Amino acid sequence: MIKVNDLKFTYPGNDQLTLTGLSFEVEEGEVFGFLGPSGAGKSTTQKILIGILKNFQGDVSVNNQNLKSLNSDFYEHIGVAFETPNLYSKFTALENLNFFSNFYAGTTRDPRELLAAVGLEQDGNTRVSDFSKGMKVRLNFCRSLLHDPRLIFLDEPTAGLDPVNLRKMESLILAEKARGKTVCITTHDMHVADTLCDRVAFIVDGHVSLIDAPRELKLQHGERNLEVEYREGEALKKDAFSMDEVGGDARFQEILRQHYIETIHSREASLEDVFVKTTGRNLA
Amino acid sequence: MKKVIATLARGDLKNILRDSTLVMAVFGPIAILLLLYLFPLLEVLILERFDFDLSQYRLFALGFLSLIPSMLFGMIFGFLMLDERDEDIISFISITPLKKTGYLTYKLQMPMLFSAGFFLLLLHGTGLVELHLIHTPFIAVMVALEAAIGALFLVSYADNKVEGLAFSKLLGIMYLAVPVVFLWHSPWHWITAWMPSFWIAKAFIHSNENSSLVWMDIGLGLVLHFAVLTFFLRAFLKRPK
Amino acid sequence: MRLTTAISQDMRFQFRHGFYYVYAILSVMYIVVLRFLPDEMVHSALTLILFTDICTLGFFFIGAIILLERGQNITESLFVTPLRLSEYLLSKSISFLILSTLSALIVLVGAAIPVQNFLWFIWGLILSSVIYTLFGIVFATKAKHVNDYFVRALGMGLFISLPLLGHLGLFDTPLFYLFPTKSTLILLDVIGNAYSLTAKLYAAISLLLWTLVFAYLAYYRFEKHVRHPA
Repeated sequence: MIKVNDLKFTYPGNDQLTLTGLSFEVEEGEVFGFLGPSGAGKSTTQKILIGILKNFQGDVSVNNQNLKSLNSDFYEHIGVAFETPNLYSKFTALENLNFFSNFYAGTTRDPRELLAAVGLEQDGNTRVSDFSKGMKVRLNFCRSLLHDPRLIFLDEPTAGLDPVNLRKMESLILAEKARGKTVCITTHDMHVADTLCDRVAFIVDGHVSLIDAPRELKLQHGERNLEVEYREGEALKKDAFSMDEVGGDARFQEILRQHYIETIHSREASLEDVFVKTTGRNLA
Repeated sequence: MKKVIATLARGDLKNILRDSTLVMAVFGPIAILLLLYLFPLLEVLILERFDFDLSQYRLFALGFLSLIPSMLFGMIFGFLMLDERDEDIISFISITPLKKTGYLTYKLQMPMLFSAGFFLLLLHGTGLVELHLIHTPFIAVMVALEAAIGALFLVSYADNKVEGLAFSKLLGIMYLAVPVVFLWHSPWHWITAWMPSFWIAKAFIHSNENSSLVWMDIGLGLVLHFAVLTFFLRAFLKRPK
Repeated sequence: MRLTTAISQDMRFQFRHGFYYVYAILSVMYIVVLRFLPDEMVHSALTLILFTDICTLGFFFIGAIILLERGQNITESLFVTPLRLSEYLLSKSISFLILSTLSALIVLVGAAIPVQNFLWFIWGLILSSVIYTLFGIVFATKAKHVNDYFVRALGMGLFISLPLLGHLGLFDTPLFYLFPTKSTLILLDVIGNAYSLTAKLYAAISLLLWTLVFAYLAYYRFEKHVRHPA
């Protein structure tokens, strides 16, 4: 769906490359995440992929179209939700959606159904200026899906959402994937990347430092250890055991039998641990 | 309190200098000053070319042109405040010790000072028409209030800058009373007496004639200006944002 | 379809921001003023009203509108749809043109002004309205806020308005024919004053050329500074 080879980009007036040679591919039907601290080049990469930034070096093709020769029909099959919601504030949610859907030649989805899917069915006739930040984010998501695009770009899709709506958004994104869509997400939220993405790319200093499935990364970079926390009298003690030998480990058996166990965890790494370990950077 | 105001003033100064708004704010009045200096020359030119005596309109030209800075400053500071509303600065300030009224008092001082200053400069600096020095400070207060009314009108009724711009077109109507008073020699000109600028024009004429009626113009004019200002102020304080 | 959608949205946007109400009030004011003026002054006053306001209102408003659309991030979401930049610019121009024409016609009818050369006049009104909207877009692309837009645009705006001096009879030179505003003034003035066919043809054709020039400039600047800002 997306093929990027040795992508380089410099903002005018900058001496340094913002993107120093990215290469990656996104397969059809997968949810692909760009992870990285702010300023690493995630947004720049996305702006290139959606045709906003032009003067880049390298080969980029999106939806089988070379980005060097792009026309506006490209956008018939691409949906974009920017991080900051972008809608006419003096118009209602439905007016905004109807307006945008008229730009597409193909069949479009029913704005009311989309609103209902994100829990805004009651708010279709409310002006966007009266929406909360979270409502705008959800409406913005609806806008990107209006024309049923094959490829969807979401920039920080969960920013500003409360836990309930966060869940809802996650399941909506997975629903699009189930319908065979390809989804590209930029985020610095490891939890989102972990639950949603089939594969993630770590972007640091303008290049991709690692691409893999979150689960693989966590297993590869974790230790095959088991950590037990237990009480010995008043004191809280902690002990670690190799997972390969834990079955016959006498000390482990003894703890299980004789002490009050508070927690037992396998020590695979969190995605955040992997990020810090492989890039030497923090995400914030 | 002082700190908040100092922060505001620094922000204003930076805004004005950075985006050369000052250029426009000063360019307009200076162009008018130039025009008024050249007015006697223009009179000669037009008398020669068109056999038309412009000098009879000196008082009108001065009255009309010296009000333009107040309209200009009202608009500029109105837009500055609309900008600050978009950036949520007004909501922020309304929870500081300064509060909304304090913010407004501060914001309206600047256009008032500027327009009164330019008014007196245009009036006494060009020496086109003799008005009494006892009267002009009072007229200047009315002119200053015009600027405050303009700025307050925009920020009270416009939701954003586009609407502000549309409404600023209506601001021009506020000054319609001036040509009416000067040029329409019929009792019907009194139908514009509800406009504050009507009384500025009247005061001009009466001060020039050295008639004591000027004190009535000033008195009624000030009352009307304050009444309109209060009306817009209420609308501003009632706004949710 | 895309163009009509964009135009109807722009018109509704203008309506919601009070443009139509404001111009209803202003048109009535103009009618009142024109009706009270002595007959011999009516036509030059009308030309002045059209030139400084009704015909050039696009210039006055377009800066704030583009800044608002950029500020609410609407511009970027418009250009990730199939909407063409040419359609966007055309839509902005046409929406103002409709407001200009409506207001001009209301004033003409309301003030009961005798009209001649009407087709020349309409041609001039339409092209001029488009030209000054595009002229504003050229400056709006780099402006940071409304005051900034006016600072950027006003110098050039005043410069190209110099032919107004000729219209007012203060100062004239053949060089003014190089200004688009000269042609605008001629074609706005034809409803009340006689002009030679050569003058009318010159004005009509030069306005068309100026439209193309400003369309190119607006497209180029918008593409460079707004749509692909790097």
